[in-house]
Parts: sequence; structure tokens; C-alpha cells
Amino acid sequence: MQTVSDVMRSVFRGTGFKCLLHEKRNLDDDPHSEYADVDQRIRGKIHEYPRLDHVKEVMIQGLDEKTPTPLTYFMDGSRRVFRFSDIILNDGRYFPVLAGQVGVAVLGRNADGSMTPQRDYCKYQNLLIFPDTVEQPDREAVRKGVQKAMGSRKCEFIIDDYQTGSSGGNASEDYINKGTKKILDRMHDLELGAIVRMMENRMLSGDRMLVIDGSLQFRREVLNRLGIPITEIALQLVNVIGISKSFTPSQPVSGMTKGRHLGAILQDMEFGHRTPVFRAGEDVFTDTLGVWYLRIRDRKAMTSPLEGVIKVECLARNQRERDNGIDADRVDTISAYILSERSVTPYGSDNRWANHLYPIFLTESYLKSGFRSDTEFKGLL
Amino acid sequence: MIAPATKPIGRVVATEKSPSTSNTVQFWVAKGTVMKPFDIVMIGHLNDSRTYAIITELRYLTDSAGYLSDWVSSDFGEVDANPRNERIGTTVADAEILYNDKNIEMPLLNGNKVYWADQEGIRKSLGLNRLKNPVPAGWFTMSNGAEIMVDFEGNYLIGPEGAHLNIAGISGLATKTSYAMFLFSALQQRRSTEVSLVVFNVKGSDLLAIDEPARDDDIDDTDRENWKKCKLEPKPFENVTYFYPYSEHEHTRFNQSKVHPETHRRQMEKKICYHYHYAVEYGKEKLPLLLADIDDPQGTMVACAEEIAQTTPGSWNVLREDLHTKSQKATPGKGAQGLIAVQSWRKFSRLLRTRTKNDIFKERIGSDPEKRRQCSTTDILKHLGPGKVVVIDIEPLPDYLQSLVVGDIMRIITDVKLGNTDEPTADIGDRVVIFADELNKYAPKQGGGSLTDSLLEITERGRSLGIVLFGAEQFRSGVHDRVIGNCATNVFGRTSAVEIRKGQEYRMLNPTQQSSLTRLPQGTLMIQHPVFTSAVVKVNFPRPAYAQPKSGK
Repeated sequence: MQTVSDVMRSVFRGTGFKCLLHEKRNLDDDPHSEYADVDQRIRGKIHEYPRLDHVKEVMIQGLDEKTPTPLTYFMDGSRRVFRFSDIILNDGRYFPVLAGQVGVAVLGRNADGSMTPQRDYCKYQNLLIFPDTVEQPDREAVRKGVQKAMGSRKCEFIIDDYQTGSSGGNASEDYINKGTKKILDRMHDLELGAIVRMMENRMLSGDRMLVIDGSLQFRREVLNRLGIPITEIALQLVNVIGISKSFTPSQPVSGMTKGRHLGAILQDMEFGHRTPVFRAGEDVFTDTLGVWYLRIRDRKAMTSPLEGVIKVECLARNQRERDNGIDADRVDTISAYILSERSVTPYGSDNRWANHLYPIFLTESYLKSGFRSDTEFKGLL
Repeated sequence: MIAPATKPIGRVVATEKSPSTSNTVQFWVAKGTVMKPFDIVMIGHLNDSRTYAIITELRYLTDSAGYLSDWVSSDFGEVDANPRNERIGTTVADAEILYNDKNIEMPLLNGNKVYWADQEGIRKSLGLNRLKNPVPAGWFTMSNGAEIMVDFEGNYLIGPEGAHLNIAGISGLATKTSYAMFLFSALQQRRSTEVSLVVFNVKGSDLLAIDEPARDDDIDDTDRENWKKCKLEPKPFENVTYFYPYSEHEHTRFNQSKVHPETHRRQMEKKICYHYHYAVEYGKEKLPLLLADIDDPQGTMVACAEEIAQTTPGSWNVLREDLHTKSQKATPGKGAQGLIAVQSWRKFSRLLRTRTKNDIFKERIGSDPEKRRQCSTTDILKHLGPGKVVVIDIEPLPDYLQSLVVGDIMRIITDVKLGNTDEPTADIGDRVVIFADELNKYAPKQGGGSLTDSLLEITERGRSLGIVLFGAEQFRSGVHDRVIGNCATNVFGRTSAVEIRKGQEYRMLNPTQQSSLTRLPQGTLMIQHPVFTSAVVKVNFPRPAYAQPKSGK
């Protein structure tokens, strides 16, 4: 049975390109490392109304497990990146070829508290990422060859490319990172596509919100690819909040009574405390995105200073919030509901348990259970 | 596979650490489904075939990595914490493969759907579909409410293919005896032309009125329905004759039994009861059985008994006097009387004096024959025959006399079957089935002497002779290995964990079956039979349909 590498060798035979078989390796070194994800930095300025310049305790009295929560849907996207082949062009330039599996999954909370996958919004893709120095006709030939070879295995690959840059690949650039970023972009496409469809299907509202694992700051390219007007992004994501398990603690914060680095403020916070909302984001998210940090675990039970603190993002709902800052009551309410999600925990199953919310952990588990195993996927390459 | 009409109740899961095998499969159970070990399920398999499997264990697991994970999840040990999120969990069933309708032995594939098994499939999977001479064994109820009738293959229960049955279980639940009598009733109703039945009563008066219908407080309509479900009539035994140990006292109506006086009166009127005794001329030959429990490595007691058997004493008193004389005749310096040492005669004399103090060791009395109704144990043969039942009460007798009577009866029957008797006998039936409780007394694991030899002979040769032993005891571990080993059918009642740990006899059961044994409810048993494809099947059976009056003494 032909593999992707076999197809590539067959397609490029006689073209002068040389396909070298690389050790098939998963490049996701340590997917559980604490600060592995790229963090969109906050811009350090407070963006909350009424203005708050200190850490605040979120009131959770009267909020118990029986109180209906608006946090109804949970989304997670994930990717696996593999290096499996390198190409030498006619002119002697040398580029890696990457493969990836990306997916997005959404779980919905039922009235009895159990979770059900929202299959219409769960999607997986297999990707082959070539350098853009391989021309479109060649990529198309590979696509067709792979399609033919994989037909019996019910497996399809989407072929895309990463830019080798204006220098045409002559400069010393990290093409692995470029390819990985491309795969990540594809994952964001799936995530945002699912959100847009949920909005179109009127799944989301003020009392049926979506929590996504990660940031809301989708790149302009992603928005463009999905045809979402830049001006409408806040409308699209208004009932969505983003929760990140990791962030960059060494960034300055201004406007608070204790003007220090973010980490210095967070490590002092007790359970149930949150920071003010900060401005964050670039491009279309300027003035729209608010970010705050919330401690969801008892500080004394943590083994490192920032364990148990999560980053929460939401978008301004209206012009008033864009101008004056995110409404403090809304932030408190969202924070209280997030705090009520703190138990149960994936302690022992996931190193990031202290920063994890169980429904997101479940979504991630569900999503990953749908990936082809590394062994199988590498066998296809 | 043709999908059954029912909804699936789970799906096969085969993991790296717990793969499916040719013999085992695991599946997760659909939410809301209630099942239990011993339920049988059907799973779709290759080539549109169906595989049937019996559940051996159920496990519930969550994604909690350990105890601490749950402790942390309860707000770091707050017992009153009420987490909003429910930890995901599922029940996983372990099952043992019984049968595939296309003889496919490949392991079941991950994700295959699991259904409740259908009636026909269950009977096929348990090997119950091709029985030549079915004998009802009970029924089991699956968790989905389906009731499955279970039958023994008669050819393996009472021969000729296999024979003998053993029932083990703790006392006090009336399960062992009730089950043996249920099977006896089934044999009398189904095989009356060839099977005669012998019952030893060892406890109270439970089996002393088995020809009388059960009273309303002993049996209800449900029980009667249960009998009919087994395709049997809820009726008492027919053609029953009772034998009680003789007593010389008229005020005890010339018997030692605890039989209720009214019951006894009725039996006397109908002339279906007798009082057995051992006249010396007859009993002297049975003396080795009387000493079966005595530690006698050199065989001197047996030698004494054999020598006594050659004499002709006029009565038991004369015999005792003779023995006394023998034990006094030692000459100083010689120390022996003939070939047997005088010390042995003394021991023999002492034992015999003690052990023949019972009224069954009396001579036949000429007066009041209708009241005394004396008979010897060989007379019992006259009442054996196809469709007939003989009940021999040994309950009032001490252990050593019980052994004497049991051994004696078995030897008499064996002799008839072997043709080793001069006495004219009626047709005692192609198959004589004997039920003896407290088998550990007669064939203990170690020792036991001549009685054990008799039982070994029956269990080893009885199948071909037509003598079948239905034995029962509290602890299998206390019974001779070869007696247990020769039983084609084994029945397990509730027993203690200590017994299970101790006895090798329970190793054939898996851990779940073993622990199930410690909590089996009254009226429920596990049965093992050669034609079953499963190691054991858990069954229920109906309550007895005969009267069980209270003791009369």
C-alpha cells in the first residue's frame, strides 16, 4: 500500500526534485508544558467600567452547583504536527515537508449536567504542508496521488503551503515554525468556522455561552479566509469567552495601585480573586478585547506561584464597553460562573490540572480520541 | 449480522492493555442499563455472525487518576463541596465467550455493538438446545426480565454418560435438601419407569412427610407457577415408604424418629412405614461399618469384626459377653489370643459395647408385630423399584450409627446390582438414585475406612451399575477428592469465604463467581454440568411441594 512519501517520490520523479525520507516524528515536544502556547500580550492598560485599579474578590456566595449556568458549550481545537520528508529543489534549496492532524470539538452541557458532543461542530482534517516553492500543479498532482492511494483507508489530506519568504528561502529561516504556524492557522479556521456556524444556527445567547480553550484573538488572515467582516467580529464572538491556561507573566501592567509585572500581581492573589480587565489584542481587537486573570484554586495548595490562575477573555458587547471598558458586573458574573466550574478536576491526569476546567478537559479528551493514533498516522506518511 | 429488534446496550472495547481474546471480551455499558454477572449478551461479529457471552464482572470507572484526584476535586477535602461538574465514568463489563453461531473464534472487534441475548441464542450458547433427556434444573432471570429455563442432560445426571451430583453449601437455608428433592421430584415425574429413589433424612423431620401435599404456608401460587414453569407438577412424591430406627418403647410408637405423631399414625395406617433394626445374626456382619470412623491402621478392628461374623451368638447380649470373655483371657507373658492381641479384643469389646447401646440393636419381637413393624435393612429392597421412593430416617442416630446405616444400605444396593446376593429381590429399577446429606461424614477427605470405600465404589463404578449418588455437604473441602471428582454435576450453594479460600474445589470458578457464592440468596444456586458451555450457571428453583411438618418429639 502506498504511503504519502511513495506518492511524492513518484510525482517528483524526473523533475529534478529530490524527496528525502525523514524520520517520521511528532513535533509537539511537550504539549503539556506550562507556557508552551503563544500568548497574546496584554497592553497593560485597564479597560473596565467602573474603573478598578486593584485585585478584587469575586463574590460566589449563593452560587452553587444547582444554579443554572450560562456556560453551556465548550470548544477545544488541537493539532498534531509531524515532520516526515524533506525536499531538495533543483537549485539545491532544502525544505521540510510537514503533515498534521487538526480538529475542533464542541461539547454541550445537558440539563442533568452531563456532556454531549455537538457533532455538527466537530471536525477533523489531515494536512500536508509543502514549501511554496513547490508549484501548485505539483501540489495538485501530489493531492490526487494521495487521494488515490488513501481512498481505501477512508483518509483524505488537504494540501497547503507555507511561505518561504521574500528571499525565496535563501535566508536562514525556521521553516518548521512556518509550517507549524500554517497548521495552527488551519486549526483556527476550524474553530472560528464552528463558532460562526453556531452563531448562524442561533445556538449562542447570553444564557447559552460558548467557552473556548485559548484566545479569542483570531488572526486577520483567518477572519479573511472565513469571510468574516472585520467590523462584525465583536458581534460574532459576543457570547463567547476564551480561557487560557497559560500566559506570559513577565509583562508590565500599568494603572494598578501596585504597578508591577503581571506575575508579581497574580502570585499575591487568593482563591476567588481577579484582576481588573486589561486592554489586549491588536488589529481588529483593539478596544474590543478585554482580558483579566482569575485564581480558581487555593494558593496554598499550589506548587508554583502562578498555578491555579487562568486568563479570561471576552469582547466588548457595545460601543459603550468599547469606549469605557468592559462592564464590571459582567466580568464578576462570568468570573463567578467560571469559579463554579473549578471542580471536579483532572488532577493526576493532566499536569495543567490546576489551570484546567473540567468541561474543557473533557472536550480536549473527546477531540483527541478522534485523532488517528501517532502510529497509524505515521504509517500513512 | 442481522440487527436484533432490541436497542444496543453497549459496545465492545479492546485496548492495548485489555484486548479482546478468543475467550473474553469487554464492553462499556450504555447509560441507564442495569445488568449483573451471569447475564448473557449477544455481540455482532465477523461474517454476520453472532457471539454470545456471559458477564463475569462489572466495573465502574471514572477518569479520576487516583484517590487524591477526587480529594482535590472536592475543594481539597471539603466533604460538603458539591462540584458542578460530574466526573465522566462508565461501567465496563467483562464477559466470557460462550458460543458463536458460525463457529468463529476470532476475538471480537472494538466498537461492535452489544445487545441483550435472545432466548433461543441463550439456550444454544449454554449448550441446552440438543438435550436428549432433559431434566429440569431451574431457571435464571436476566436483568432485562427474560427468564431462561435450564435443564440437565439426564444421561449425564444419572447415567449412562455421566453420573452423580454433589451439592455444597452452608446449612440453615434449606437449599441443598430442597434442590435435591426438586431434582428427585423431576426424576420421579419424568423418569418413573426406570428410576428409584433413596433418601436419607439427617435433619429434623423435613423429609418425613414427602408424600403429603405442602401446606398453604409452605407454598404459594408463585411457587406453583414456578413448578409449572419447569414443566413439572407441584405435587408431593408418590409411592413413598418410610423407614425409622426401631425403639423398644411403646410410648414412642416403637421408633426413635422425630416424625410428627400424626404423620406417623397416618403412615402406619397406610402401612407405608417400617422400623428398621439389626438383629444380631444379621448385624454381626455389618460391624466393620460400625467402626468405619475408628483409626485402625493395622486393620485389627476389622479383623475382630470379621472373626465375630463367623460366630453365631444368640443375641447382642450374648455377643457382648463373648467379647468380654475374649478380652479377659490374656495369659501373662503371651499377650495374645489367637492371631489377634487381647488388647485389640478389649478395644473392640469396649467399642462394640458402647456403639450397640441403641435400640436398633434388638432382636425381632414376636408380639405386636403391627405396632412394632420391625424390619431389617435388606427389607428396604422390597420397597425399591421404578417410580418408588424410600426414605430412611437416620436423624436420631449418633454419627457412627448413621454411617452404619448409610454404608449398609449402599452395600445392599450395590450387592443387588452386582448380583452378589442370594436373597430374592424385586426389580429395584435400572437406576437407583441415593440422596445422602452430610457426605463429609461418610466419605471424609482423610480416613473413613470401609464406608468411604463403599462410596468410592459407588461413585467410580455406580454409573455403569446404575447406582447414582446425590451427595450434599456443607464444605466440599471436607469430602474425599475422588468422591467429588467423580461427580459429573456439581451444585454450589452459599458458602463462606474461608471455605472458598481453603478448597481447591472452587478454583474452577472465577473470582466474581467465588464472591457471588458468599452471598447467594436462599433458593439460588450455581450449577455446573458437563453439557453447559459456561463454567457455572446461576439458577433458581421452586420451593418443595411436599409437607414439611414440625418435629414431633
